[in-house]
Amino acid sequence: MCLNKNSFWDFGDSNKDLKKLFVLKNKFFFFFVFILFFLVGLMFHLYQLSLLLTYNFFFMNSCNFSLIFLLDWLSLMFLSVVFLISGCVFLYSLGYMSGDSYVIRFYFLVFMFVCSMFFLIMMPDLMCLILGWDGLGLVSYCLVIYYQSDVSLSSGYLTLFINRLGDLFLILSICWCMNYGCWHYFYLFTFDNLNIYMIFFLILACLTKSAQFPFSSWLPAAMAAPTPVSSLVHSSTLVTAGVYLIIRFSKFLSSDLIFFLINLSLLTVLLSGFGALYENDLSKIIAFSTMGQLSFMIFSIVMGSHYLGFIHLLIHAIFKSLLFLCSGIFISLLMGSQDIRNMGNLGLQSPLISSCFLISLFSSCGVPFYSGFFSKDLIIELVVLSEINFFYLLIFFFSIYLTLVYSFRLFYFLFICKINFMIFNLIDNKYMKVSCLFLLFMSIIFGSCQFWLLDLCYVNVFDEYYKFLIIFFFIYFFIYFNVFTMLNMNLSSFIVYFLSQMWFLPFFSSTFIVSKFFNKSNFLFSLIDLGWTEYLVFTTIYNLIKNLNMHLDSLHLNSLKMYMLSYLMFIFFILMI
Amino acid sequence: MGVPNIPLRIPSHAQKVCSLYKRALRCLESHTPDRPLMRYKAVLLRDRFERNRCEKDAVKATKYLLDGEKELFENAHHQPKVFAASAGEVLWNRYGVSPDSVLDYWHPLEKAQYPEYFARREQRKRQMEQWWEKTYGKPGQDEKSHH
Amino acid sequence: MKLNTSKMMFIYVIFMTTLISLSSNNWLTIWIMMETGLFMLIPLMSKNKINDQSMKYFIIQSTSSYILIFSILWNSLNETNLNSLMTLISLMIKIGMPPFHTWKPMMMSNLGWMECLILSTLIKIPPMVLINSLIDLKMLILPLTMTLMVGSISGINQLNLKKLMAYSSIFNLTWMTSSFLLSKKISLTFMIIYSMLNLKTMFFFKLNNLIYTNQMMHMPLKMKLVMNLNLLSISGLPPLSGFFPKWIILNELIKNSIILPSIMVITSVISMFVYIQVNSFSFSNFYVKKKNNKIFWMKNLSAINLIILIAVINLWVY
Repeated sequence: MCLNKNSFWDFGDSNKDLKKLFVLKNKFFFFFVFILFFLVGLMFHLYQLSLLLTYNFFFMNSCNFSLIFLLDWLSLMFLSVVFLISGCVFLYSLGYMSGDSYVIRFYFLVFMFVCSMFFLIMMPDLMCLILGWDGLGLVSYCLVIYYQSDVSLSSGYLTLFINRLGDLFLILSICWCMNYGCWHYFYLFTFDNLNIYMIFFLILACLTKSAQFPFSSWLPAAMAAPTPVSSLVHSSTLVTAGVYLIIRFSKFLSSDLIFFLINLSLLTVLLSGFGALYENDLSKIIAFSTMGQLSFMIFSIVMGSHYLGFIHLLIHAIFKSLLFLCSGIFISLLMGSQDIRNMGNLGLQSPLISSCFLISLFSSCGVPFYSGFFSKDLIIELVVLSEINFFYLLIFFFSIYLTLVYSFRLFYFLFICKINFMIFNLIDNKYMKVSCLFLLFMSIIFGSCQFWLLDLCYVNVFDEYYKFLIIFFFIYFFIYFNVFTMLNMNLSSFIVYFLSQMWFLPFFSSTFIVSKFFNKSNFLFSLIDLGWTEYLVFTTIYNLIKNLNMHLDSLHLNSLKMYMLSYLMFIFFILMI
Repeated sequence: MGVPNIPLRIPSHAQKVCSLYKRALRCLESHTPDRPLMRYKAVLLRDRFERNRCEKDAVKATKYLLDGEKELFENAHHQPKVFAASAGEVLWNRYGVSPDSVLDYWHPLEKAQYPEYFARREQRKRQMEQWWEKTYGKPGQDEKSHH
Repeated sequence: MKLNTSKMMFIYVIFMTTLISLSSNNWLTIWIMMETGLFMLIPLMSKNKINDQSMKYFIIQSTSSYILIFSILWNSLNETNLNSLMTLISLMIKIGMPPFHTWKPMMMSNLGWMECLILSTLIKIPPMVLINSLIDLKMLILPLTMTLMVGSISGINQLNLKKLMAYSSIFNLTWMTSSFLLSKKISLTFMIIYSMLNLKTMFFFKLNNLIYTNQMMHMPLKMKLVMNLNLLSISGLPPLSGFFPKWIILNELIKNSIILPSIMVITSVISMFVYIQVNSFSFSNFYVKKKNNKIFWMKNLSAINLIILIAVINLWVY
């Protein structure tokens, strides 16, 4: 057990360079693919091209089973961002995971993760999609339980089961889709509207993957994974898969579905905003922020601006991965402690990483001329221009305001607070820094870059009062901040618990449901296994058979003479008849 | 976590108060991220405890204690500040290491697959035993082995 | 050399008698073939000169043969049907069907594995053909039920592998008889698969000198796996090959009678328990490295347990 531990994966100290070489090669491969896909995607966008590679397997019951790859600017752009981030994450984890004994397994898992994301994006076919979709769910589970502790196991199970629920919905929609005889998007796009059940199940699958309201409890739990993985999972790969699918199918969103999705996405924004406001775990705050951004994207998509939603997805991926990478460095500086109350005055202690962190933080709350601003501002303007219910508009603005508040709270705790924990282990790893700086560069330029390159030009004209809203926000913000955050939180404790525990969603999605089954099985166990049934039925039958066996065995104690005699007696009886 | 909730001893009143004071300080620490502010509040808290320190009336003292417990319960933080390596936190049991003594419980047939290692292990154990007997003396007849 | 040639001749003749009896249209020919096969088996048995098994076997078989021919002649004198109780009993003694099974475990526990194999597969075929042609199903239901009960229940608490295999062959007598009563193709399927599985199991036991069940513990993991699968296959566990002929038999038999198939299913559970009990000895992790563990061509034969072969056979049957 202890002797041959690690013998398979451990290359030994002498081969440490080999590991590095492996990762560096991967890194350069990923960057090469990033540049390639980015340029090709730009070309495809410029000339409005799309390329389909199809291999037909067979036809059965007039259903077409085929392997299909789609290259258009949407998939290429998305893939280029995925490869950029995964390359950075690989380089980063060379430093971050260097002390770990199962690093090679980690690299393989991350690589499989990227591969399944590749399949998910490239295959515009619901049947083939499930390859990548399932791969994402499985590998994310393996990554969440990478640290073999109880906490990561329980959160891994939560992640696995909710993702499996999403797979179930996707499989149901595939079953419905069999009526159309084909699972290609492009074939389905020839219809005006799809079956309501099919599209509804598809949307539900997307919602579970993107951690929207009723299924959102897994996202903060999945933070038990190593931080570089969270950076990859929660920025560009796993959670954005659902948004990507919604973008693809945005043509078929009927008015009922739009109503449903608006409600859910606004609920999620509120949920994540309050959750981040009352959370004290650094990576969970960022996870909540991701959840909020995702529902922001879904909201913008269902409001009709799905191109803007997609571009916000790309930009968000870059700055959010940077945020995670920086937070990973902070966590390792603090010896693994993730509580933001332990952090304070980090800006003095690690200025470079702090500036990276701040830039991505500002980007995520849309401070002007950081990359997140470009898409977020346009989306807000479009939402204001659209004829939306005033109540929804109010909640929408309130949620944006909440984003601001929790970002500022994070800023306060990390950089303004007095020193709570003096950092003595100065990590000076060039791999981690280089990857952070590369992403920093990208997150500064990427937002505006998208708008020059993709030639998206929006001119919006509307009332000036909406633009003043941000100033009202700031005024109200300081009041709120002073009352609730600087001082003790004087809200009644139930509300605090309600908001900080994600509206008790983890409870309702795990314990509440599972306890019913456990109680039932416990009842049955005590009724059958511990009751009289065990004795009366099973033990009695076994004893009966055993006794019979004893009698039958005693027959063989006789000699051949007795046997022959008995046989002949039998025959004489028959002759007498 | 994992510890059975059985009272092993009956704490005295003073012990209860001390425990309350410690928990109140922890609660204050979770509520106040700002360290100087927390120190100031801690002084105020200490003052509240000190004021009733010399209370001779047992009934009154118990009432103060119960009030304090109630106040602590009402002001409990929703996410108390815990060290990362303590039970139930992120660093808890992150790298599981099985104890060395597990190897002693292997079956002889299993042990036979790694003859060299176990021979050396037995030798080391004997050396350790000798060292122990040299330093601390032989265990007496009354001291039973734990096996 | 000399001994081997004679052995080859005996086995060859046994094969020939089985084939001839399968293709004959005359009860006398079948009877003659049955006797020839029996006489060919006796010298094979007498290889081990300490035990008097061949003598015992000869007494039992000759008695039953005489009863058989007597009953057939008696019935033909009276110009009645050949389907009589006496014929049935004589055949039952011949193939060791309960309540006349008592000689069989005793006999088999003193024989070599290869003789056990012949006794439990090849020698049974001519009497089966006679049962098929002479006896009606209605008369057989009671003895068959009894066979099922005895064959399944006696195996429990059995530590001797040879006796266990004897009970297994008694249990499978019912299936064999009913398959012979149903149709030739079904009986062929059953006989082929059953005798292949028996061959494999007994060869394995012979090669590894296994006599008692607890000797199964000391085998390497791969052999344990092969053996366990094999035993489960004989017992008729669904994904394995032994299940398929039994399935076909049940499927066909249920059209004729309800009571027999249902008892077959119930007693299969008990016999399955017996095999699993044997297997449970090999679940332990003890393993002594022996140099004389012989797996040889057994590996190739383990493909029998796969479904693919059975699918092919089923295609051929239907």
